[in-house]
Amino acid sequence: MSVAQVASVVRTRRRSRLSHLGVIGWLALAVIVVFVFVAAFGEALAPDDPNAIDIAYANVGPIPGHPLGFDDLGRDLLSRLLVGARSSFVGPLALVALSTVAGTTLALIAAWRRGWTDATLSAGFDIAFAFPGILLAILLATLFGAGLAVAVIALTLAYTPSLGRLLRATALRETGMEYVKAFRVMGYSDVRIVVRHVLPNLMPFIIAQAIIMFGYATLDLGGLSFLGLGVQPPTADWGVMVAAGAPALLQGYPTQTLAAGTCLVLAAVAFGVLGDRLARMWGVE
Amino acid sequence: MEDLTLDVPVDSGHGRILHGVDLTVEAGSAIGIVGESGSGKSMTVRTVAALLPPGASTSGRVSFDGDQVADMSSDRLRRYRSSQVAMIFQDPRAAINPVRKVGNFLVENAVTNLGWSRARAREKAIDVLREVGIADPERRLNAFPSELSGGLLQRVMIASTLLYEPELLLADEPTTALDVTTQSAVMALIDRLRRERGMAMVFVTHDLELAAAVCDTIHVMYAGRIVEKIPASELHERSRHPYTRALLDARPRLDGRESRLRAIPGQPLSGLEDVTGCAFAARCPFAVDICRTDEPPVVAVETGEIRCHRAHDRLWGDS
Amino acid sequence: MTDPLIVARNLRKEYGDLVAVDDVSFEVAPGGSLGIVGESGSGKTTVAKMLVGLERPTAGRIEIAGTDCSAPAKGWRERSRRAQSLQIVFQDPYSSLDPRQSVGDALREVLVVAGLGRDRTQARARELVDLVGMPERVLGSRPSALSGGQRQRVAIARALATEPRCVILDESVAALDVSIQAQILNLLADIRERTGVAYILVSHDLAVVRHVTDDVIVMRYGAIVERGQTGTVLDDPQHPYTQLLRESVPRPGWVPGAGATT
Repeated sequence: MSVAQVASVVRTRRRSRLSHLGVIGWLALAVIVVFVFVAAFGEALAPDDPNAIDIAYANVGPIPGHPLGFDDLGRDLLSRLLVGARSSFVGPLALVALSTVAGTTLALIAAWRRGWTDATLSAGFDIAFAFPGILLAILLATLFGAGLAVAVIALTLAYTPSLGRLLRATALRETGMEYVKAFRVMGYSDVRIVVRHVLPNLMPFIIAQAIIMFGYATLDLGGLSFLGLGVQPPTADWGVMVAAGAPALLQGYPTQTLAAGTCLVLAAVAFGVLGDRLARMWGVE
Repeated sequence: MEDLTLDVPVDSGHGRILHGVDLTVEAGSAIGIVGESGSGKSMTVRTVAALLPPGASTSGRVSFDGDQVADMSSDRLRRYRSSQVAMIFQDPRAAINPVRKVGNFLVENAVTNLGWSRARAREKAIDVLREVGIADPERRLNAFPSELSGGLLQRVMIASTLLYEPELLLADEPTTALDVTTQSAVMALIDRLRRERGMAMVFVTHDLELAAAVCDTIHVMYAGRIVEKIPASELHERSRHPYTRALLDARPRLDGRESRLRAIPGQPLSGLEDVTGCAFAARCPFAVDICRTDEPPVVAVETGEIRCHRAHDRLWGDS
Repeated sequence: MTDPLIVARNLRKEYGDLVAVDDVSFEVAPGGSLGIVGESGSGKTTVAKMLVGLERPTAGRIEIAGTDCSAPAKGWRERSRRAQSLQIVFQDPYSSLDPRQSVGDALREVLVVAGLGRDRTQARARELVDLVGMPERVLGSRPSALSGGQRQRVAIARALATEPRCVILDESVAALDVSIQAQILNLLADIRERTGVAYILVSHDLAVVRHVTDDVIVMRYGAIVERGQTGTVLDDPQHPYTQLLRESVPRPGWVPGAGATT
């Protein structure tokens, strides 16, 4: 008893504030801040028109004023990277927002109603979870045509159950707390208890999971764009650029694929690390 | 058999939990450590078993049979922990691996640390299970912890300590999680086995009456300090520390009803908090100026020792 | 003879094959106090949960202030009306408050839900913390800043906010240190004197039951084995189980294992 209490005193002290993100956590946060800034102001930052084609400069390496050189159509690579950030993040943002809202709602319903509602939803989560998202995206794309919206919807269907499963377990624990019972006895409506009390207490967990999910989403949507199922060329987009650079890569000009690929991976890792650190810091792993 | 002496101030880096605790356990005797949460009673026994949280540092000495626990080599420490002291925890479910069978838990220490053969350990395990009053021990060996009640599991825990007959039993709130009737039976068991085998015991509890029933000496702890040391038989009539008296008076009575309980005002203090003077002064009805400024010395009195500035004043008519 | 405040008739609760509560009946008078004593598995907590509508009885009838409350409330109106007759304080002071809500917000929310005008909630919240012996400044505190005893005072204040006619104390002092337990027990006695609230104390602790209640029922394996005035039952228990319970309580001169037959 006392030892546990002493330990908990120590733990609460240790878990104070942002300083416990650690160096890596801060690094991840810095990378994300830069990316978000670029996504917001990419067009203003770009030194050149990202869509201006000049075949004369096709696959030309770095020259003054064009630090990354040009792509296979002679467009300025740095400008395309900067402008492409937005397109590469808008999709994941929509995807994460949709699946977080859907996953949270379903998980809360399952945890609150329990019984057969919970059993049905859990079984649904398990089945949907087992179905690969990329396959679903390909299926939907063949049915409705390729495009970012279709890719986002397909991946939302894949992401929702995975968040739902995770959150349901945590929500079950939270709804089992005595304060929830006390509120029921005090005559609070179900909606009030869930929305004003249970949900806010789950927010740290949800936020951390959403950030981790964002990392996966940049990679998955980038991957779909690479396959031609997401963002369509000639829009500047990292996934599209990785694919567009492939022929040049084979001819010995890897810059486009490498640069866009690095951005995607860096973003994915940064979000993953930050989400993980936040989860640890808030004690909601 | 020699004495066990220990003096264990712990500094965990965040604050001091124990402040100059002196404890002597004679071979074969039972001492009780009683206190509220944060008093440091659990940490005291953990220090004896050299089971401290990571990052904790100690000063002072813990010695067993004349050997310093802190100086023990890892081999010696293993021998000490595996054969000379045993510990019973409050929550047997947390202490026993839930995915391994009861039999496995029982023979593990004997086989890995004492070098017994599996067959011999198993045979002995059946004996000790029978001895702690578990019917059908052969079948219980193949049970998983989740299949047993809390009371039965605590008996298994006690049985595990009997396998190697340690010289010292450390019991940290062993019955707090149990029902009263089960507590009574389990305490009777611990008490009987301890006496039969001449084991010494350090018994940690928040229940003064329970400690008084099974221990020879009672140590009352408050804020990481032992404030009174008194023979159990003298506890009710002759305890002198204001905190001990207050604890005795604060419990409602079973055999009558008073209109108001004599509650102790304020909150119990943990050893972590900084205090000037006596840690109990803020809640003490007898506190005088010196209590708030100077740390009280340990004073030897007729019944034992107390840590109080007013040790020699007659605070109660009858003592 | 006043009408009883709470009537439980032949309550029964089954979970699958397990009979958790079997044919339990009792009454509580306005301003009265009933102890429900038992060990784990005795069904005492299940009885409490059925009374406050957290569990639905398999059979039997519950009447609170003359209204049938056998089934959990339908709709928030009925829930809210019942909330004003019966409240509960749980055992664990650490999980019975929303960790994100300040004491003041928690109290004001109950009052608003109970239909008190927003302009009056602040004053009433102040009254409530005063009633449970806490300074006004705790209104701004989060539960994490409070000790176990203080949280339990807040939980009591919250239960009293709707001025219920009866409060169920479900092991409400069991997790507290002895010195704090005595403070809370005195507080409960004061509150009873000032408000005339009735108590149902669910507890395994005979001394606490004796201190708080006038009448008692002793439960084992879901059924009542003995009932009567608390003093009489504890001083002269008739049922062997009650005798064993009483003999198991450590007290001066006590020997562990006393009264046990096994």
